Amino acid sequence: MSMEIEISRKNFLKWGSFLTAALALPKALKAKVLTPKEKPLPKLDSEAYKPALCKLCPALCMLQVRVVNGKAVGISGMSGHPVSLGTHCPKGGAILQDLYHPDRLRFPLLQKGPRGSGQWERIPWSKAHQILHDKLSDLLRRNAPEALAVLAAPIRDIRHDIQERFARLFGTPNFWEWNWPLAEAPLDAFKMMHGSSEGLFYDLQNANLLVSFGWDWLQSFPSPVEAQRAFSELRRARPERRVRIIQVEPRLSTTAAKSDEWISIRPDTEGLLALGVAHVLVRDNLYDRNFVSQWTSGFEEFKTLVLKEYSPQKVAEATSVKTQKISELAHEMARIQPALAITYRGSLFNQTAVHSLNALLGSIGVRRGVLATEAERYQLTLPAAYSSEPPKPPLAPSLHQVPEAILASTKSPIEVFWMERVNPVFSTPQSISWEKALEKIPFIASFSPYLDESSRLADLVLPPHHSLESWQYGFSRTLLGQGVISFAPPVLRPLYDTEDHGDFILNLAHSLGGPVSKALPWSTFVEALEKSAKRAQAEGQMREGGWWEYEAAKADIKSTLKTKSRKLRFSTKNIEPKPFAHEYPNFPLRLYVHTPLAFSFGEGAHLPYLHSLAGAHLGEQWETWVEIHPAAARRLGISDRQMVWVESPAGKILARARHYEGMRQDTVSLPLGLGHTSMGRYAQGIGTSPARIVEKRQDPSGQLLWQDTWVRVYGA
Amino acid sequence: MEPENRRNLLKRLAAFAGGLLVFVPRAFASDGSEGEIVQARGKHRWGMVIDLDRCTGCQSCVVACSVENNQMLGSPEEAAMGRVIRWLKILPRTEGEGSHVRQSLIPMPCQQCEDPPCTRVCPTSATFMNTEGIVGQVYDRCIGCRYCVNACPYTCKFFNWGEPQWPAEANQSFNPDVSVRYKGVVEKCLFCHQRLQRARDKAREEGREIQERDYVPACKAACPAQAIAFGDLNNPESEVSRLADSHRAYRFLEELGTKPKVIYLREG
Repeated sequence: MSMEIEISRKNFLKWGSFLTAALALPKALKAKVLTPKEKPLPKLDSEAYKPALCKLCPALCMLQVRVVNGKAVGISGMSGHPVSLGTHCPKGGAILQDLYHPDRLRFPLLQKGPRGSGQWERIPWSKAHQILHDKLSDLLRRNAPEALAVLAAPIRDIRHDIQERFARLFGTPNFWEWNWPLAEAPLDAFKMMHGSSEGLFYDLQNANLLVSFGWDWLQSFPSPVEAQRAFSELRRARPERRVRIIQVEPRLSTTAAKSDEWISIRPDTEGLLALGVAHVLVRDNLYDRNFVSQWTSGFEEFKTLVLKEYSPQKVAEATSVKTQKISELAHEMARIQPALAITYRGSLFNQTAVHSLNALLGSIGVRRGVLATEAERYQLTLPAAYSSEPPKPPLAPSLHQVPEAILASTKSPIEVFWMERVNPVFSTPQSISWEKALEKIPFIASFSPYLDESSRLADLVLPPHHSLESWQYGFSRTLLGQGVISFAPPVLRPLYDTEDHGDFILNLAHSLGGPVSKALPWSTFVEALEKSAKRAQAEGQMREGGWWEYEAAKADIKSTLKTKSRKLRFSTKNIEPKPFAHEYPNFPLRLYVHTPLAFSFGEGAHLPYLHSLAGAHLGEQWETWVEIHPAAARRLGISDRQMVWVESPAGKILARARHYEGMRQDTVSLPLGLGHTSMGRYAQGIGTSPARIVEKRQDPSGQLLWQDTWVRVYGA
Repeated sequence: MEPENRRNLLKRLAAFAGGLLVFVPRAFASDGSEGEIVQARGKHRWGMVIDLDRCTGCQSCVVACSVENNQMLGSPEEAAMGRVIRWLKILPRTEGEGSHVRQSLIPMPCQQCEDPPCTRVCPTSATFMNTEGIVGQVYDRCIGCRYCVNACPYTCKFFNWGEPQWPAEANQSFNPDVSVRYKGVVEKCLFCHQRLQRARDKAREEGREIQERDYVPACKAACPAQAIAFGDLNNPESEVSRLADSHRAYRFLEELGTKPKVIYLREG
């Protein structure tokens, strides 16, 4: 059918106007039709915000968990909590990935085949309980309680106290706490110079001039949230001044990048630089003479040693920091009072040298310097313990000597080894000694939510409730020296067949009877907690979740001094000159390991969101990279992003070479935290671990030295 | 019915034209730029100020954003191809040599341009600017052409190259207010728009106007260094307006005329 349209005036006008209208419309219509409409959000049957304690690190921030229809779906910091102040760190933000991790253990496991074979059998909790009970009562029957060793996570919690009391009343001196020296204050120097390290802290947030000798404190700190906050406060909280921050480190770390000045230095020589600065302070009479004469002892010996051995020329040669810079630094630290010199728990040499600067500058016992707090006395403790036999000396004076002590004897002196949320096989240099020592121990139980490297070698793996699934108590000391006691009831019911770690130990104590049972009379962890809390305040508040805080910081010198003479001891013993020449001609580069905040305390690689953060400064994620200066790389013929071997006398690992201007030419750097061989799908087989190639060196303080390894790098 | 004649036709046409003028709101009128849809201006204009002097590059914001917005988990394979999506990411810049080397770590969410290049090129209006200045993205409309990904000078738009991989356990922690994206669509930072909606709903229930403090994006809430300010740029009294006027304030690639509503405060 065809239709003819007559071209007439009428039709022309009709169609013409229709077309005009059609053309005029689009703009308006397009906007109206195409602009998407906002859809209303789904109605939620139930929604609640519940308090929770983050136990992913020892800082113990209080979080707020958004619970919708019985599922935890959101995280924020708890507003007003003195540690978190309503915010959280990257790790705290990822806590839901820990709760809902697909590879979390769901029930107790018993090793069926030989240890390490990975042949596991599900057993009921009653059987797990019975197995451990039998092992322990056998030790008691043979009067060999010291053959039990407990290695615990350093979280301040009543469960921790229950565990420690159990060990003590059982009769073993072999109770150790894990620690991560890269994120700790120089506790050994504090102890030696002040007589005790308890309660001493840096008034970081209020500093006037902050000089960090090697401490990558924005990434590795006992309380990551507070470190970020302190930095922000130093920068902008005081309108009259923006506090200067100086970072002495071999690498342009995040802390160095955010500081006003980065002083590049050879690894592990920060203490030498501090002594060079001390030399100038003494030589030029810039130190606080009143403070030194009134409050310190041993200054004359210190002065003689420093003037003789640590001239800026000598120090410059060893550290590569120019003499002029040493002098400038000393003058600046003397000018801006009080200047605060901080360092981490590295070698006793470095710790002592750096803290001596605070003593020279009189930055102790004053606000903005080093302060003391009595916060610790507000910590909840279990009601009085029954008296116990004086303990025999432990198997080894320091935790890190335990494997060697076990390996040195023909038959393991430890028969039952119990680990709680620790993974020594992954988190120590040369962990092969731990592996071998564990192999020798007849029976191992591990309380762990994951099959990590150490749990794999156990006979029994006991998954505890997640911190969001159980009652939580925790004690924190804030950066301002306050004591904070935090409580949180369970956010949700346990997802799996797990058990409260505290309840498990209490049950074990009751079934064993005797002193352990008498000293731990409570039927559940919550009862023990209530009994402990009763002494402090009403328990009603505890039931709902919340916190109590106590002001306890003191700005007076006397409260920092616990020595007999009530004076601060300058030490010369720990800062005697030692040779710094390197020992391995075939290994021309120094290895400097660093801990990205995502993997603070060496943990966190099992959480996928944290992988994305690890190497943000180079766009690196989900693998191990080695930072090398472009000029050094060119000399070695190594291109950017090439896979290389990093080899030390202890072994070699694969890593992706990344050219980095922020690296010294004589040093390479690897991140700690990756390279698990176990620990779930997001950690296992991702990257390699530098701990494998760091040589195991122990300081006189008993701490492990992470920064004393030489390597070579070549194409893979 | 009236007979069809010239007079009636003209009358009807005049009435129709008049109707158009009356019913099509003025706001729908174009500002003259080709192909752009300009919408009514809402009461608020949401903006963000990031103080780089306070920021420590800790990336709490990155994780908070990922959790709030059900972002992909990532994997070594996706990382190797540069396909891990993070709406808020750190832009690293290293400059200089030797001891003069300096580095900045800059948090980069969508810059929420006032004149967004991405919305201009979208053939389906999947990406658009809402009445309060937030640049939105509608996944159902997105055809995956990636014009907007290319148009964004800040590289803040991301294409889903594969189906997201979520273990069943992890699904439980999905934020019910945010859709999970699928293969073939583009996604971006929406200033946690769902939080604005919840805040509006709450204000409505309580019979009051929404206030600035009711609406806090996840990144700001998380930031331990308090480096992020967020609020209404239309309100001259707001913290963001005040900070945006600071002598330290700047916007990225201002010369492009995109007029970002994410403003940075330089260090020092």
